[in-house]
Amino acid sequence: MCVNKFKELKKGNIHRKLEENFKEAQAKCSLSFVKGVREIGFFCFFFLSFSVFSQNPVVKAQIETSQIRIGEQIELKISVKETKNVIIPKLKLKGLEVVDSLKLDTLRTGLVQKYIITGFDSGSYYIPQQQIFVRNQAYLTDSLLVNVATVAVDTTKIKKFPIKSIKKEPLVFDDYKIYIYLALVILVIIGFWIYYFVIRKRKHKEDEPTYRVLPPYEEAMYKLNELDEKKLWQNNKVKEYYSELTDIIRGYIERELKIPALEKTTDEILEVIKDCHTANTITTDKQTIQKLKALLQEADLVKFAKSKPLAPEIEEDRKDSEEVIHNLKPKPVSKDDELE
Amino acid sequence: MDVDVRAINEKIERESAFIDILTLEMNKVIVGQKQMIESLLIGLLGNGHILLEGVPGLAKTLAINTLSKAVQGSFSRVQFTPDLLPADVVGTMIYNMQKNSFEIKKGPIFANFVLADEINRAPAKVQSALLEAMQERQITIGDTTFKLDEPFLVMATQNPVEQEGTYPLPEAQVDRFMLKVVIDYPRLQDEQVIMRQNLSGGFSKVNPVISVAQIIQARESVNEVYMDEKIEKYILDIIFATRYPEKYNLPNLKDLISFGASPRGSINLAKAAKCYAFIKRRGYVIPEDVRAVVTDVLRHRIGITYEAEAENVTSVDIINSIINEVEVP
Repeated sequence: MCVNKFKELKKGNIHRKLEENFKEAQAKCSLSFVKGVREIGFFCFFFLSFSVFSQNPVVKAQIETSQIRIGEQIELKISVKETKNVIIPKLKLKGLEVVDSLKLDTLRTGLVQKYIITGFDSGSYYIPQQQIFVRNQAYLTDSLLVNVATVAVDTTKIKKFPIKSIKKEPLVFDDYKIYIYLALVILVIIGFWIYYFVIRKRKHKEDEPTYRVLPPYEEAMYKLNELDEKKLWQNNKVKEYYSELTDIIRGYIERELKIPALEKTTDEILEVIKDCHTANTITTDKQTIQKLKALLQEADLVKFAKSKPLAPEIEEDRKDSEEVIHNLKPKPVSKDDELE
Repeated sequence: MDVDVRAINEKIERESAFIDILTLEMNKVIVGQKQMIESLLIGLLGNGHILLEGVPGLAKTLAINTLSKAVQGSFSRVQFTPDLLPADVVGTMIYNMQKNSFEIKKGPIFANFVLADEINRAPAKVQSALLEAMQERQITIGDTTFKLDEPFLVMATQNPVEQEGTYPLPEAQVDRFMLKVVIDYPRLQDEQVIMRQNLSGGFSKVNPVISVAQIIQARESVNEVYMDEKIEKYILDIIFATRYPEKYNLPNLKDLISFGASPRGSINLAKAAKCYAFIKRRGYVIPEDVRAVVTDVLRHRIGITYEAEAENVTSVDIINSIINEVEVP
């Protein structure tokens, strides 16, 4: 029984050990499987990402063809898959020449810069890698090979022509513009000259009243009639009326008697006229001087003291002014005086 | 605004009656200085001050003394000397030993009529003290400010003969005088009267004919004197001709004038013209009034250049050229 028990116990231990070993092996197997999957995943991710980046470069340089003849122009296109913070430095070429740099083309997904390039020497030339800055990071384009071939010319079969004379360039606006500007300036000066010396003078002459050419007496009479026609005092403009009336009289005295009456006060005018009368240089009587005094003093009252004379007084003053002008005359110079 | 010039004229005629009495009273003592008396009256009525220039012995002191007696006002005289101090003019604080405190001692400027004799003999600080008082009409001594009595008329004199040891008044200071009057010797007949008066035993006694209150009232009436727009324009034309002579057909004056009259010039010219109209017992200003005062008002307000000095052209010559060119309204 004991032996049986021992056998049973032994069997039980073995079974348990086997089970433990089996579980251990199972755990190891599952661990290695997880490790394998992770490695595969890592490799998949690495190769996938590499292939993705290699298929879509940020910057790319392309040419239409790699075979050109001397002087033939091809287009070099640099594409950038970014629109912001892109710096495309000046194109650097060796053996080839940039004919033209086209305007930067802005697309929704990127920028395209096109250049027209050419080569004037036969041979193979590399367009070197161009450094483009995108978001402060430098990217390089691929280098490209361009073969520039010569053109085979069979000089024996070419028809010969005499040397052509030098041909002038066709004339454009720039060649004429200096002459055009000069002509315009001259035209403006002539126009101004015509306006200033002809039209303006003519206009000035037209504006000038006709009485300027009249003798002092006629001028004064003309102005008095003009003043009457204005009907100033009839329209309650007595002050203006007397201002103009005294201006006419003073103007007449200034022109006819050569006394600067326009710059003198009433008292001064009367004083000078009295002196002239005393010196017998004017032909007038005391009554006229009295009338002149009364008239000028009345005018002063109207002009400076808001006095408003009645209509008969104004008419009387108008009559007196005519009389004063009529009687105030310089003494005619006799022939003897003239000889003296 | 509608102004009744007739009513003003009547009022002025009535209120200016004292002018004749005052002039008569002054003529009892002052002989042959009509212009000086008129200028004093203009200063008195226009609330301005007068700078008198003339050789000694032309009755400058006597004139202002007579005026103060005729107006019943107080009079004081300050002889300006190089050692004069501002406190000698305006006053100072003096220690009273009995009261053991400082007391204010008012200077001679506290009078209605002040004669500042030979103002250009005192240094600039004294001149400034006087001129400031003239402008502000108040004096500050210590912590106390005193208003000067009305009327307050300063008549300063300058001697044109002696220039050595003098301190000429700067342009800015001179501008504060309403008028600068240059007085000349009296005529032969007038001098004969002066001589006889002196030999017969002094001058007649001057009686007070007008009160200070009447002067203050007259000043208000002067302000009412009507000045037409045409006269205003005439005054402005004259003033502007001193500044821009070339615009008034006087291009030859351009190089002779270093600076023209200031706005104070136009204000004083208008004021003086009104005073002159009042003295002539008129209620409105006419161009004659402007002409009568223009030389005295502008004489010290026009600066002349070295070219003018070299050609012996004075500011009066310039004023004459201007008034002979500017059209009278």
